[in-house]
Amino acid sequence: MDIVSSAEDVVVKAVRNAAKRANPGIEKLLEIHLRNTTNSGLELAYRDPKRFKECVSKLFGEYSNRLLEILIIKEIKDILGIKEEINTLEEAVELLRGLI
Amino acid sequence: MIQDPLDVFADSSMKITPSLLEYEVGSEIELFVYNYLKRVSNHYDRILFLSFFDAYDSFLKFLIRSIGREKVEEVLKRSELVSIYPRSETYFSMSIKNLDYPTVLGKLRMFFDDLDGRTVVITLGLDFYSIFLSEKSFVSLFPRIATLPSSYRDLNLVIVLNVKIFSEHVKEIIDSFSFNIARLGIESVNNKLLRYFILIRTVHLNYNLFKWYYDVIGDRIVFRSP
Repeated sequence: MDIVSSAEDVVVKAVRNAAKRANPGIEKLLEIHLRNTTNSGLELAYRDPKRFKECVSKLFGEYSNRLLEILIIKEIKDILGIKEEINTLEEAVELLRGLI
Repeated sequence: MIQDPLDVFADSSMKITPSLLEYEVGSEIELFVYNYLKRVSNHYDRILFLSFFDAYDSFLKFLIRSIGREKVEEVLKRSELVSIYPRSETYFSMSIKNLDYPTVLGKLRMFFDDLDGRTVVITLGLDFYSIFLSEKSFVSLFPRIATLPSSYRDLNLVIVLNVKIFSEHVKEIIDSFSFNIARLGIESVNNKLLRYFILIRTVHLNYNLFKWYYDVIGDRIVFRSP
């Protein structure tokens, strides 16, 4: 597994865990929506976090998008055991790129 | 006059407080709160948003993008914002940078002491607070916010929360401090979203525990019969 894919795996796992925590039913819906609109899967959260958030916002609304973003950040911090203050998914991915 | 379940919730929220609006991801909570305020705002002198971690910013952005600034400003024209730990919100009447619950509560009380007239308080982002800090911190703060109306006449409180993210123990605490409860949820059928609304606990007993499916059409919530 190369460096990029392992960092990507962390984010995909974090997105799956966050979606399950918010509502187990939304994970599949989110994947289908991403495939239909961007031709990507959950890995879009790592490859283009801004676009990922725009897609989530269009599907679920901005408020739910923010809730999911905060849950994803929490999952990433828990997986990596880091304490830094992170406010956005973009910041989390940037930090991850530096760490892994 | 009561015409639909949101009217039932709105009317009940003016008779007993605090109210809890439970939402799930995808339930269009922004438009629900907007429509709620459309129905109750004439009964109040002020709408006050308590926003944790820029929750109000997300709420407002989506509304403006979905239904346009003019309609949003018409409903929110008498609104004020108290922002707790803001990063992007800059247009608040007061901000609170410290997240310890005694500080948050103390500053809120100071702010509320100076309010006059009838106020409806919409609390956004307490679920964000729980994720950023911990359930333990949430459990310290939530009951103290929920009981604020007992100290202030003419203050009604509506708390917007995604209850699903909490443990069962905390859900029980949330439930026991909420007198008026409605739930917004989603169901996935053939990979499509169906949205529903359930009145869990209101003063209008005949409507409680009924479930209505709804659609969002423009800026309106359109209910189908239970």
